[in-house]
Amino acid sequence: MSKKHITTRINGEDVEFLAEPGASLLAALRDELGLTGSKEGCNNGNCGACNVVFDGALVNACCVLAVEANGVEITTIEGVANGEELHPLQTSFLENAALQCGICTPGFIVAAKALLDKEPDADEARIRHWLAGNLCRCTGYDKIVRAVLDAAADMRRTPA
Amino acid sequence: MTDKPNYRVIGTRPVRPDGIDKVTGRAQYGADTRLPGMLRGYVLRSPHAHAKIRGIDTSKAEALPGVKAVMTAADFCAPGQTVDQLPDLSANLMAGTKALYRGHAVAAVAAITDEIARDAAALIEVNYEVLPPVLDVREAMLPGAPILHEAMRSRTPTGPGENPSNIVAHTLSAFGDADAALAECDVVVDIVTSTKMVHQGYIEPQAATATWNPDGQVVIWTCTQGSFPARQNCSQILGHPISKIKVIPTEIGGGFGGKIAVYLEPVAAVLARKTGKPVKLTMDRSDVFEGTGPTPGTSIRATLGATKDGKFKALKADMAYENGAYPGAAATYATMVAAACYDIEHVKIDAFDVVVNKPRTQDYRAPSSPAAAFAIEQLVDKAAEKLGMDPLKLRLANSSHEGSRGPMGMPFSRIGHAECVEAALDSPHYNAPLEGPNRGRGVASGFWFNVGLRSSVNVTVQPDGTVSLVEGSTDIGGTRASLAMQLAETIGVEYEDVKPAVVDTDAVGYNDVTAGSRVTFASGMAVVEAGRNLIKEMTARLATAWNVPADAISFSNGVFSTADGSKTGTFKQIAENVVGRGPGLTVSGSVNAGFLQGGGFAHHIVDVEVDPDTGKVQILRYTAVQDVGTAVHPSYVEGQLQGGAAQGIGWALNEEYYYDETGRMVNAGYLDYRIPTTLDVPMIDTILVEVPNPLHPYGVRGAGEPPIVPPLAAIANAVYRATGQRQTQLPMSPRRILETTGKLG
Amino acid sequence: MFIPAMMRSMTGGAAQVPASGATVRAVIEDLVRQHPGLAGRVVDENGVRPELFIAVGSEEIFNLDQAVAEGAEVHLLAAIAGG
Ligand code: FES
Ligand code: FES
Repeated sequence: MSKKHITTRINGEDVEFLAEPGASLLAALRDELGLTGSKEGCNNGNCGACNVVFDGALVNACCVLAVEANGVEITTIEGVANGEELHPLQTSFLENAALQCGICTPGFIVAAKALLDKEPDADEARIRHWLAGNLCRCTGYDKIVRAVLDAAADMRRTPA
Repeated sequence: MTDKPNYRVIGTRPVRPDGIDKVTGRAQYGADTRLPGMLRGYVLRSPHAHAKIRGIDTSKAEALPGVKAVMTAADFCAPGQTVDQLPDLSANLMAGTKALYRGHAVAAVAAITDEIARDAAALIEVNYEVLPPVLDVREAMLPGAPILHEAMRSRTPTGPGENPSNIVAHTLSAFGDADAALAECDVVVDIVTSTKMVHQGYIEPQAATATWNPDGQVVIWTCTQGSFPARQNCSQILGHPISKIKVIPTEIGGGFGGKIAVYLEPVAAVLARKTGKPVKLTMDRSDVFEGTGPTPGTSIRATLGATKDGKFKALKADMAYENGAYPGAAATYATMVAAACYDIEHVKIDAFDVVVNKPRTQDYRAPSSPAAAFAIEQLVDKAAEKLGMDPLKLRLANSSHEGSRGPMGMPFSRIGHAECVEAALDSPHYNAPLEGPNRGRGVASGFWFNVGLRSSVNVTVQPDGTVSLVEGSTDIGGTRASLAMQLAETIGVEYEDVKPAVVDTDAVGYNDVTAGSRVTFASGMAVVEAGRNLIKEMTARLATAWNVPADAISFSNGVFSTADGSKTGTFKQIAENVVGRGPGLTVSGSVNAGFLQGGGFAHHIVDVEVDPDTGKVQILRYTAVQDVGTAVHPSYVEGQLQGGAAQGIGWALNEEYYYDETGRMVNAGYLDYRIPTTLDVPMIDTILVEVPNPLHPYGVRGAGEPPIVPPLAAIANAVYRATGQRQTQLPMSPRRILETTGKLG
Repeated sequence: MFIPAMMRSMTGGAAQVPASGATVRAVIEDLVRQHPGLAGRVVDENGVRPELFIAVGSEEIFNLDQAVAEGAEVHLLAAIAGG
């Protein structure tokens, strides 16, 4: 089967690439485009390590076909910081020690950002519910949930 | 509590040095390695749990366009060696004569794309003669069970067995006379438990990339817990000198004991040799479940006897641990930890290591201890009930202490089990009433001895007066930070002035694995030694510069000064102005911290609510107490306690390898092998007890392992209080709860 | 002298056996004299076997020439790491 030419926008930049018809968006990001910040934990939608924002919606990149990215706007973990300036969620994860091994961290930060962008007042129950698709095996989630709560409070104080 | 020295850096909570790379997606993990011209590999695995391999035909796979090489176990053989002679280490990576579990690797392909490699693997024809599998540890011990290894004879206390057996070893650990003592006890309680195989569940699957140059130089990038042991194992499997293998550790996405053994590394190396190109291999999640090493399922019978005033007199246990497909020592480990929390005069433990047609087991955080505690900590709970005593006070009355005999016969040095139980007694959680129907509170203790082993670090003074710290132990949970903090404390500089890095096997002295809770402890000792060496060397140079004898210069609180105080300088000033003018300055610190750290104890309290209709157990409140010696970076220590507790909660309530009768794991994915999510655990409170470890200059104890030990029993004890039914089998899934508490609802 | 479980087939099943000597090395030599099955399994020409470690009382020792007091407990222990 022949590859398809895809035009998309990733982290604010126009990007073109050739996609295998059966390849996932995750494989395209990681293998074709060198954006290895999105991680593969399961490749079937169960861990959230591959979370990206896809035309405003949070998706598991492993469950989206690369060819579906045509004409779409995508944000990956590499696009969360504003240049040299970390996003409040990134700062909060660091200050709260919300990562141990860090493999789940990109997915959590992308997912939490997608939540807080829409629901800046999310409380602990809402955050836990929203993040239930993201697995972390190291932290027991305590410090992750606190980091998101802290970042939300911070973002409410200084709206972007 | 004990007077705590006034530390400047230790006990603070700085941001970790590798943090920014990890929150921005820049950090490079195992699967992120990309090399020019790199091929992708794929491993073909046995669909059968037990089968003879009569032959493997790879010709169709080799003929597929885009395929560059195919390998089988024969490629691990030395000249003249046949596949039936391969040692277990190699045979587990590539089955030669027999596939011993479903998921056992049988061949591997390198091709220009991942898809072609997969397609080619499907073209490999393996001629299997399917054999009946044995999957249950007690069944495997019976005469007439299908035999995994015809040549294997049991090791027993009276010498080797005569006939082939699946029992690797019968280990007897006995002090005093448990049978006679039990007969005299006023209160005797017993229990029979069983637990299922569970997986470490690290989120990052195994991945390895290798190059093999024509001159025999091999480079391997891998997400390992130990680059030096990985190099050693690759050298053995490949029959290739250590000096020609360089292992570059990538960032590692969790391990918990599961990333000590090599799986893909030697396979990638062979494929790289055959193709002359870099080859990358990655596992998918089902490969991780089926093809790597989980922790054993167990079957335990135990009896505890006490006097009527609550003194434990005797403990007797019979413990069988699955080793998976190849011999291990999980049950032998269990004899060294099972009775550690208590001072009991008469102990007799018969332990059986047993092979079954499941993946070869590996360590998982405090290996063998959680399943043993599941039995013994429930016995303590039963005894407390019979004696009418508070379960914490009963534990306190029987606690191991400095000088009491440990489970290996050796007396304990300064340990903190009693302090943990006292802290639990004083905790807000234990003193808060728990009200409402179907609710219960449980407690349990846990032990892991924590190892020291060998570590080496290098410290180099930089021109601007900062220092770089080069270490060889991979950093899974923030050890770059905890080591940099110990160096900053020792040499009196700011944490920010220490720049730590984990380097490859050619760049630093020997380091054992990141396991056994040892890095902050033992590499910390190496760091302190390097720091002291650095101060000594700087003092010598300063003596020349200041033209005073070296012994006239003292160093404290980060300041060098002469006895009369006429000349002084901070570390940074001296490093910049004196060292900076001379030849470069690098010192090293190397230690063998031995095997024992003195012991780490934990105590957990949990409140549960059991839904009488669905059988679902919800964790309402959780507190983890642990003696951590000295908490270097308290946030990361708390994180170890919280993470370990969450893993224990998963083990207790949901996780298990679920097999059909053919030996197929039917839940080899995260959807059906359910690890805890944000909705399954509450905030986990921690109480850090600090009984300084006399074996470490700053009193550090390893913190990573003990927290997975208590949860299984603590939750079982809580469920008992909530329902009146003892839970003797794991996991306590909704179905199991409904089965055992049929009367609820 | 305390013998680890996995080596007790060499001491007739005994977990604890008497041995004498002024140093750890001498105590081990005496042990091996009594139980020749242990020859080469505790120490070899390069020192303590890597799968074992030795403690006197509650202290792990690294130097075989360390003195052992009358009545002291010497422990031979199996090495193990963890996850
Ligand atoms: S890798 Fe996509 S959800 Fe796990
Ligand atoms: S920090 Fe390791 S999986 Fe989350």
